[in-house]
Amino acid sequence: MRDDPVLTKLLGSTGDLDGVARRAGGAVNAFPSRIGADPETVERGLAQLVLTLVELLRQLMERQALRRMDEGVLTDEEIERMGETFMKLAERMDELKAEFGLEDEDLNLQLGPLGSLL
Amino acid sequence: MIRLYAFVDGLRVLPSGLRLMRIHGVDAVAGEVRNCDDRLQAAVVHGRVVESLREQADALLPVRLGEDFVDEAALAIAVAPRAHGLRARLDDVRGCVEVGVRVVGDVSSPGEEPRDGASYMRMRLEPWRLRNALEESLHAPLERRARATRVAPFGAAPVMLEASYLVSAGAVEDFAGEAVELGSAWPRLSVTCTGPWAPYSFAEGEA
Repeated sequence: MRDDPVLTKLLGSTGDLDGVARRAGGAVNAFPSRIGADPETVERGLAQLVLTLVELLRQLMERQALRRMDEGVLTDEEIERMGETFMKLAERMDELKAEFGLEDEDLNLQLGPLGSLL
Repeated sequence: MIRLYAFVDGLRVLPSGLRLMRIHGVDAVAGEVRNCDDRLQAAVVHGRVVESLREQADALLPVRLGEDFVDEAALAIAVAPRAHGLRARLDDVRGCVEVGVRVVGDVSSPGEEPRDGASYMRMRLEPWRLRNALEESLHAPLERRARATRVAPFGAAPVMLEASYLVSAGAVEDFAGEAVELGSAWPRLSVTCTGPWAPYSFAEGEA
């Protein structure tokens, strides 16, 4: 594990170092994905782009809802209604990801100097 | 075809195979583009070149992979309008390196599924609160030690916090020591501190 090029940069850690090493192995996923022009893959590429934007909006809305919930400004009814909406959206996203063979880490965009979208 | 690797100041030794160009008072380091179809391998080579420059320069702004130009004249034309800003950013990162801190952990109870909307929100609230607590008790003290920071917005568990810190090169060990010490207060989470890196997260100024 110490031969891992990422772990040669390890300054210190706590907890599950093996878990960190496993995640470091996924660094190849950091490369920006491209939408293929091949007719067979273009549908998947477009789905990836659309689902990435939906996921961005979902995260922004959920963060806002959690902030308001944490501040205690939402009624029980509002919390229930928002939670149900987010839950159904998450379920539908899982279905669509499965349909297009996408994983969570596929739903992101590299924005150059701005970093990654999600 | 030449590839731009970094802008530097106070470069002591130019690694072999590279060339140094002065463009409107800014030193740019470039090298011949080597054909490489493997993107991961190309990134590793690029990273090694940048790291070798970091060790030899007082200030360095790494350039992302793939900034290729037909020749030195084309590179100069592209860089000239940015020279003033590049000089200022070199001053910002002088004597500093980047240190990364990543906190991961599965904070949900195994097998737990939301029964309704309210339980879904309560389950999401726990990591949200944990993230806020981490920002206060782990990130804030580290931020005080750093010249600048970049924090990724919170997405979802298991990545609870991902931040980059611009730290004086001579203070890296102390910084990492404090990160580990602060992280030990969170036994359910893994806190990993990596570096020193070239200041990739700070090369383009405030995002």
